[in-house]
Amino acid sequence: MKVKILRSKKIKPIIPVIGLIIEIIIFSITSKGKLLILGNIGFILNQAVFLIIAGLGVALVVSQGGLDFSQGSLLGFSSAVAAILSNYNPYLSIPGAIITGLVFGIFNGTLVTIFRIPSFIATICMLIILRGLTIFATNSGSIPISFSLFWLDSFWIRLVILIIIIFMISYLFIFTKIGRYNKAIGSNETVARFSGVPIEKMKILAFSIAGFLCGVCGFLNVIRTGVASASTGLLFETEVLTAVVLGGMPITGGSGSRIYSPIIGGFILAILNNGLIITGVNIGIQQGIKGGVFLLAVALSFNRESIVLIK
Amino acid sequence: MLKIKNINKTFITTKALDNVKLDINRGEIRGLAGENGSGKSTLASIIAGILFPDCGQMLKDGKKYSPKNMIEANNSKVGIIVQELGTIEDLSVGMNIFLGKEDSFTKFGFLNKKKLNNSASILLKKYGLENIKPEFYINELRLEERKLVELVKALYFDPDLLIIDETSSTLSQFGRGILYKVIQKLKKDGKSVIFITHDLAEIITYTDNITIMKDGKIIDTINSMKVDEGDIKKLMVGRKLKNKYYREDFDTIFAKEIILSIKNLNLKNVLKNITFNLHRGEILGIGGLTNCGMHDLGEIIFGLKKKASGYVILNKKNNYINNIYDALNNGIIYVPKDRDKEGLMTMSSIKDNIILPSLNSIQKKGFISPLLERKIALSGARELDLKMDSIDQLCMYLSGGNKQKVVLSKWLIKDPEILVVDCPTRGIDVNVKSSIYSLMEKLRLQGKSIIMISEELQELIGMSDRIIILKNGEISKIFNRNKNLAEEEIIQYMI
Repeated sequence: MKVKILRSKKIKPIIPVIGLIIEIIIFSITSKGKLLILGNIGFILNQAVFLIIAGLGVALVVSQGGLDFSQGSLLGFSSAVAAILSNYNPYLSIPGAIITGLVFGIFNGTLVTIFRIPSFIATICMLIILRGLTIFATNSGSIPISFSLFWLDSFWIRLVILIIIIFMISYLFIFTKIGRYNKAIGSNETVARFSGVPIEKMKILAFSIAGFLCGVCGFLNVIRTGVASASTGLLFETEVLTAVVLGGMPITGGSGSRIYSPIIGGFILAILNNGLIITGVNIGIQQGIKGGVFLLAVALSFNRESIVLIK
Repeated sequence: MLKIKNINKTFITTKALDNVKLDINRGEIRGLAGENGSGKSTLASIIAGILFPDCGQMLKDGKKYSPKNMIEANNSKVGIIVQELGTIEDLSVGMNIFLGKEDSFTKFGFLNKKKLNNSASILLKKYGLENIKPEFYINELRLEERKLVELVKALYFDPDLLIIDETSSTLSQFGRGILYKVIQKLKKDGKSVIFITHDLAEIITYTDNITIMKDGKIIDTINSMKVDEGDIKKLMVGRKLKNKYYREDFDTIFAKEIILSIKNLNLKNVLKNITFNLHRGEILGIGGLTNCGMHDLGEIIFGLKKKASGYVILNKKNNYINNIYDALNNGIIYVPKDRDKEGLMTMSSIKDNIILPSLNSIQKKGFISPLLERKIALSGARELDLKMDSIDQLCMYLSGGNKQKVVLSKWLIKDPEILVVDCPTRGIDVNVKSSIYSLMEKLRLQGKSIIMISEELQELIGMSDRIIILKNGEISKIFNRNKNLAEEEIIQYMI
């Protein structure tokens, strides 16, 4: 029995990569080769960028055993703020989006630590509140972004930002005490507290970073689409969580958390979305498949020892 | 009457029972002796239907006996009085006695409380316990009385075999008297008893035969009339350990320097006016019954629990300890009683556990070297002779003793001045226990101070310079280290 479990621990990190490869093969076949043409790869990367950037932030929260369901509406609201500010002064656009993300990230952290609301509930409530704010800010319509910022809509700029963020967050997680503290909190919060881990600070930090990165995504998104609308970011939070889990992150966090799961997971999900569309699968069935895949990934990763999912 | 063959039980990697074979006859009082971790309670739990064996067979009166739970065991006339508390607090004495059997007092869905309480009264009177009224709620009773209620409950269905697991240590002279009377009556009626106790004098006097267990194996079964305490001890512990177990010295005077002052600690319903000092190089034992408040005291000293009033002061710097950060910054560490839930992260590796409290010092200029991390964890593990496959092994696969070594290792790296340990050797096999005692002795000689909260009297007597006994949240008595200190003396102040 011991050998079996040891083996599965070594294999576990590779499973998402294998899944990715299999997925590429399947969709290449079903799309009759359209998957891998240059233009399509561009589409895939453009979607993956958002999932990965936001995913890295959410991964920090999940590694602590928490959840962040507010990302979708936060994306929408930061996009709206970026768009509105761009029409007054384009230089305010980027800081506007980022600060919005940061502020609400800190707010999420505060709800969870000081008011002790379980993150599942707190962030879903913020999802609703922020959606309301987005609808209000966009006047239930859409706000175009100022033309002067269109030059920022470049694949390479997105790529550079992505690589910088991947590097910074990975470093933080792997080579500093922050990653270890997060995993400890996810593994056993009581033991972490007894060992002197500053639990409240770490939680607020994780949510703040998640919010910050969501703000970044908000800006990049509004540049790409050219407008911020009342429905921007709808269901994005679900996509981000799906990506994080598909990449191998256990939904309960703890010692099995890997910071590169949003990266692999981002690609898996982006290819899944893209592949289903170019294969011509019915939209309803698409949703079903995506939901099913998420369920499967969570079920496989679930640490059955820590039954407290809502933290 | 009861035949047990080839019973094995493994908890993850700990082999609790190794090919156990046991035969109990009708009308026999069998004593079961052994150190903590020898497997006595596990065996008793399997016989009583609380646990399942991994393999093996049990036969009662020639018929296959494999109870799936306590009720089935009861139906086969096998009962147990457990080591922990076996009554339900918010129910009355009467309800506890007839727990599960309320149907016999129920008509048309209505419970006839009066009839139930009358029956309870009769039973209580039968065993000389008229003072305990069936209407009383369990929380109003003292520990001893609760245990006696459990006894009445177990006897109600007229068991063929009654297992008594470490109950006598919680009873006073009066309670024990009743217990012995019950045991002897059962024998007279041709029933059997398995009597588990640490009190060797008691086990010799009141049993017919004694079975000794060690490390999950049955060592031997001997006639109670033909042995003395020394013989039993030898079999229980094994010749090798007989010498160096607890401390050898009996008249060392610890330094006069006061390291930690506890002044007037109060916590509503838990602690009352606790005041004492901890000296350098002292092992201060704290004992009492489970609910006397000693565990909470440990938590308060480490800053885990908020006290209602009072102070915990580090003398050298006159620092007040009010929370965990104060405690850690002043060199106080805490080894909790509940190892798996509060002591270490079972789902994480040994390495992750050991380095956790030291991450601040391992991180240099915003960088943690994984190599350095490993080196420190390995050296910590080696210091304590930790038995593991690799430093990356998950802690849940370690035995109780090795888990405790992980907990100790993570703290020892920080070179603490004051160690607050709660039940440091609970559920640990003899060999590791011995090494933990050696470790405590080593620390003491280095000038560290240890507050040892323990429910094991032998441990307190063997290791402490002073023993503070708590009773109902107050300091009942302070004992000094003495070769002739006996358990009975101490128990008197506990109950």
